[in-house]
Amino acid sequence: MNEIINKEITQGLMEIKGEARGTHFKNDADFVIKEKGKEGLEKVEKELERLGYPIEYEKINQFAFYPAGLRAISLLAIKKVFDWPDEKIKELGAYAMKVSWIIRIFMKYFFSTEKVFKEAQKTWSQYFTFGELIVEESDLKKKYTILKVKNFNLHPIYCRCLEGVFLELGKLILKPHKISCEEIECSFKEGKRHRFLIKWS
Amino acid sequence: MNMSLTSKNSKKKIQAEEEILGLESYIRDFWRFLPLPVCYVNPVNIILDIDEVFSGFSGYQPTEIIGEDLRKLFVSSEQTEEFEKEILKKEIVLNREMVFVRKDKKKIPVNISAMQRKDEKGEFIGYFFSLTDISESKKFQERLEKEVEKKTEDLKEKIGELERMNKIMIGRELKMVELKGKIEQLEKQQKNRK
Repeated sequence: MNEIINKEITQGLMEIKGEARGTHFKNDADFVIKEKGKEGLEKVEKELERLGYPIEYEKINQFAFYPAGLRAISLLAIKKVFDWPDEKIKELGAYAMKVSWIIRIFMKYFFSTEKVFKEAQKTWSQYFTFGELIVEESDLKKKYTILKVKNFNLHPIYCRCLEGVFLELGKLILKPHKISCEEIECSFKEGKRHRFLIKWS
Repeated sequence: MNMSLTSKNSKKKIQAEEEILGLESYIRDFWRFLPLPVCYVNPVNIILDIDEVFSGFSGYQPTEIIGEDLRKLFVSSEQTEEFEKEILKKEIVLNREMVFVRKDKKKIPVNISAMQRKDEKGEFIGYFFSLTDISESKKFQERLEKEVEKKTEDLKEKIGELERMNKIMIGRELKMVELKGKIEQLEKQQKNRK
């Protein structure tokens, strides 16, 4: 059976250049506590220690930057410890969008769809020191938006997390009856970049 | 030179991060301390943030209610719509009476007060609102109204009784006047016979 995370994978991830804000780690911890309690988080911390990259979630400064690879390791450790399906990681991404301080800073744009997606492009750089978010296409009449993420090849688990983040972002501004977000192109699946299709009705 | 500039920038960055962290902690503590249920809503009336008291008051966890439409929280959609229109026009709305619906479907009469938020260009970007539970004062008011109603009924009854008495008295008086007249007439007739 293929392990989703082991020492070799973690080393590879830690070699990736680029950083992510501490808030991502805080959101991971909050979500695990919500779903599995503090004991659940302790299990994740033990797994991270076993992998050689311990994270003390409580001591993370949410405004500081940490290696982005470490965030991927955090997500993979969580997925492994609780044997969660991809859908649960998507849920974690959506949760992060709802509760993190990102939303509080970002909320002033939450009145115009165009403005939100436009500002999301700029805001990306505040949360990652690499990669780029671009609105490729947006048609409010036909009710879809395609978001493109360039130069951000961390790990496929991040794609699931981003699906959840974009899905929740859409929910917060579009007031949809139904909404979905799927990755339609992935650089880990022979694509050139990551492209996410948000559709609503 | 470059190294020293980098080091200075880095120190400034760390200092700025610490300041933001301090501010964030201050805001978080302040929200925790607020003894009122407070909620932040965007211009399309989607709930974006709530405080802990609101969570306890409504029965919703933040993740259950953030992203939901404001109308989910009130009994009357029409009243909520009116309130939404009002906060678009006025900077502050005070003590508008509405009926709140908790997660467990319990209805609570509340007074809602709201304040607009604007961005640096003066554009409306959402609003805060707070709730005051007026169940007790409502109950008191209802009790008072019932009491006043009962007292009014009693009073009406008393007035009716008095009116009846009055009618009887007036009837008697009129009868006496009539009898007096008749006596006078009979006395006159008697005198004339003599």
